[in-house]
Amino acid sequence: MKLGVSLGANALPADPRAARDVAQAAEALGLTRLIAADHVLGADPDRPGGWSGPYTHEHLWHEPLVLFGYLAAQTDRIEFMSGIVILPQRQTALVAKQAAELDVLSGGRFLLGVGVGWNAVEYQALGQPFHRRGARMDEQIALLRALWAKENVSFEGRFEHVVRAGINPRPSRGDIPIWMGGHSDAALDRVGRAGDGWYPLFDDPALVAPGRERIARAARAAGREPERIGVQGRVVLTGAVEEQVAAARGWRDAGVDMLLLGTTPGVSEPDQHIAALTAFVDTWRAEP
Amino acid sequence: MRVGVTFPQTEIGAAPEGVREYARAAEAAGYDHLLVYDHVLGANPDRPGGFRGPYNHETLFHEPMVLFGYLAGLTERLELVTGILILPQRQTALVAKQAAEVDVLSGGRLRLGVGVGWNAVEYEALGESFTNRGRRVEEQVALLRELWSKPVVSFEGRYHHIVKAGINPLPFRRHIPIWMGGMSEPVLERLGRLADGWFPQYREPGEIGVESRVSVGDEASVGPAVELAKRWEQAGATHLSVNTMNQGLTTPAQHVAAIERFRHAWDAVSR
Repeated sequence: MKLGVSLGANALPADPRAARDVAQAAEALGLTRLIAADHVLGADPDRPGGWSGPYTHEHLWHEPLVLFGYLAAQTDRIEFMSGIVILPQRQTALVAKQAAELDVLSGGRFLLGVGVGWNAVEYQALGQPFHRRGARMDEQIALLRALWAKENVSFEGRFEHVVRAGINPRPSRGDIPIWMGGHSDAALDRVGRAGDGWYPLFDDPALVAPGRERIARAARAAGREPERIGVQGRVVLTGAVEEQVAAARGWRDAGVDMLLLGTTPGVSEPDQHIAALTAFVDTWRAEP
Repeated sequence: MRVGVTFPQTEIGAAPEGVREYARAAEAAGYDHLLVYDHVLGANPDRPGGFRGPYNHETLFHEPMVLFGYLAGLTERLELVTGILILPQRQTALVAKQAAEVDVLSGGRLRLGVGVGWNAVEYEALGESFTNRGRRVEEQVALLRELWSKPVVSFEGRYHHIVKAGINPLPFRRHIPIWMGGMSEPVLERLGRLADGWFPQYREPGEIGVESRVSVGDEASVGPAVELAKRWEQAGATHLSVNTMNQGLTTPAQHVAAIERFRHAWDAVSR
């Protein structure tokens, strides 16, 4: 089981040195993946109808694709994955272009994590409909794959229209792995049909097996090989390190390929993140 | 006059080594800024109605926002300039977010040049209307400035609707300079109302400009380019970018040599 780091809400200040220090330390510790989330806008909770979302305008989120460009220049080996980009609120062709740019500049170290999100305020501000976002995302994924694979694309979908045009540069392998969050039946079926990996956000490894089963059924129905679809688990670095390691064992026993170490909530000091990552890795590697 | 380079988008190639070598050399040679063009998609010229644009799907363009993230990590001083970003084909709030991110990562080094472009194929593929791009760009600029200066924005425009939401982080100085390209009368009027600077497309300093351009390739081209740059300066240009595309250069190293030659000659006459 490989290890990665997932940057949580407010994990980093605006100062770019913090992001650089955490990424370089993670790479030096042997972590192989760094994940950053995506929220283009935050909502002021003082609004008609109130607000029950977990984040507001006071949460700082680095824009993941630009941030990864920056970190690609500062690191050599670690992979970057958006966790997740809210795909249906963005323009598909621009996501294809920016993802390809990251792939090229990082030497093939980018994975695109996508999801449909929950925040209608962002969709409205970005001029995209909130409804039918699942159906739109299916079409977006098909168009992304086409734009990455072919220099010249024509695509006539329900929502997307491209007439004999393409992006350049394209990713070096003609594709970029697409990982997906969520664990509703619809989300699992989509992973099986179209995803390269599954990024569930629950904390109970016992839920991996039933989710994987459903993904495998959908994959086989679509003529795809379920064994090639990755799964990653998550342990948040809070509480005693022994408990974190015990939780990690649970994920390992559930058979996930990658375990993400979530940064400690309420902490935005890079040195503290690095200390927590180091403590976990040292204890984990000392396991028999 | 601040002298920068035009990043050789169409000739630098995809490899990050060439990009890195070029950007570091431009900074080391003492240039003030690095200007990049923007095209999200290229059109295949073999299409109904034909195609007469200067670029097609075989022309390579690095994506400016992600590229600037990368360059922010590689350089310390160079101003990063889009010249221009085709604003009405992008979502305003995402441009605000990504521009702020570039600005924060680079310590306030972004200058955002915007224009309305000419390629309807790109607009269609990006799901935006080509016909009202002039009207939309005005509203976009107003919204960008709001989103960059305030943590929470409400905006009811003809094309944009935001209800008490904002981006975080905000730009380094809560402001990013917006420059505009273009030559038509509506564009010039829009510029006067809204912009912080102008990229004219004139090549002759007799027609006065602000951000000017010269091209450099081989040894013999340096003298005339320096001469032209001097005339731009005398004409009141505040910024100049040195272009090396379409001069027969084929490798990143040749582009680097060309900008170094110009810089050397320019330093000799301007001190």
